[in-house]
Amino acid sequence: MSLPPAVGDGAPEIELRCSDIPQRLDAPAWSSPFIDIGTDGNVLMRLGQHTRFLIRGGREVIVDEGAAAHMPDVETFLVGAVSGVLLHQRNDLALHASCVAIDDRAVAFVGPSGRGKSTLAAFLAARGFALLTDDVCRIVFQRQHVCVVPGSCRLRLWPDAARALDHAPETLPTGRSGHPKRVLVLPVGSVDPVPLAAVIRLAIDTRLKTPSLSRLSGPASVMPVEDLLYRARLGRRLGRRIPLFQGLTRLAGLVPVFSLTRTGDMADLPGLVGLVASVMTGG
Amino acid sequence: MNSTLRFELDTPVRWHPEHIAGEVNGLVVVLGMSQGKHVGFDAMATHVWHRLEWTQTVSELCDGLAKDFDGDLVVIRQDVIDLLTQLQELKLVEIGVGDLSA
Repeated sequence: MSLPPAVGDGAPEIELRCSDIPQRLDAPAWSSPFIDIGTDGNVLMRLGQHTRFLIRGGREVIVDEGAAAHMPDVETFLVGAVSGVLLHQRNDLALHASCVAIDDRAVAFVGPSGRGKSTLAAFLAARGFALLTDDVCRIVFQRQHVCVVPGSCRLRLWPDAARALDHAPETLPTGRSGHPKRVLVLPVGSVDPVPLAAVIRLAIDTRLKTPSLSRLSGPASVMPVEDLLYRARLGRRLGRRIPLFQGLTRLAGLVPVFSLTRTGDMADLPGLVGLVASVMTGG
Repeated sequence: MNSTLRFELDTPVRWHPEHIAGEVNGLVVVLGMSQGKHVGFDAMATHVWHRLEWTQTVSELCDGLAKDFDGDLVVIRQDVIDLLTQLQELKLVEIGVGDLSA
């Protein structure tokens, strides 16, 4: 598996093991076809055809024994949705973001799925930026600084994005059985938290001829909160509505937030490098 | 409290206690716990919101704003009533007769 390397010599923070787990939780507080949330905050996830996870107390992840035959799927879910649940259970703030760094300063690309976060992060990583994490971006506050904790460096890319990045999609592994996205694993950019210099909210407007960058201020920088937070709805169901709101407003008070609207054409990727660089130098 | 009360100048108002507010770049963002909605305020609404921490009549609120901004009281009263109406719909303010200071 391509999990981030462990740091430090203390006891592990998360225990991961295989065991039989039930199809459903008894008397869940909330349930959907994919997730049961127990009254104790434990979460059972049914992801993919064969894969179930039981996530307890932000410290324990149990993978159903039947999923062991589908390790690529298990890995994808572990570094994605399962990590997100763990962070919520541990009362951490997680952005729905891919994050890169340069000169020991990070920039996080946030936005709903399909806005090109992973693609832009991969493009920048191929041009001297260090990849810190994809899709799940853990934030910590250290005194008056906001920092990104490095996470998974597995980028999940659509085939056209992989081609735009000079990777033949058929040469890359799939992250999920039957899913067209491909996985590009890059070196870990850092093992230590990196100060966050900017948050860039990605949008797509196909009417544009060239990408557009603008600084956001006030409520516009954090609303709608669902566009910035990882699995905000799940977090609310885990009782985290208030701390997520407080964490996000605190972050936006300390870190400049920008809006970057792409044309939707992969040909605009090179132009985005200059815009991101301008944010990092002037932001 | 009568949640459908029309605003009169002597109507007491204050912010609803079931909310969480934060500030970003000097402007208020409120999470209303009643409806679970996030609302962002511009500069004027932010100023009004800060004043709504204490129970006061609509008239007192408007008089204070007119003094702060050296503005036309008639215009301020209409703007404030419009704002309070929106906040009432979002259940972000408490409005009514009687003692709201408890």
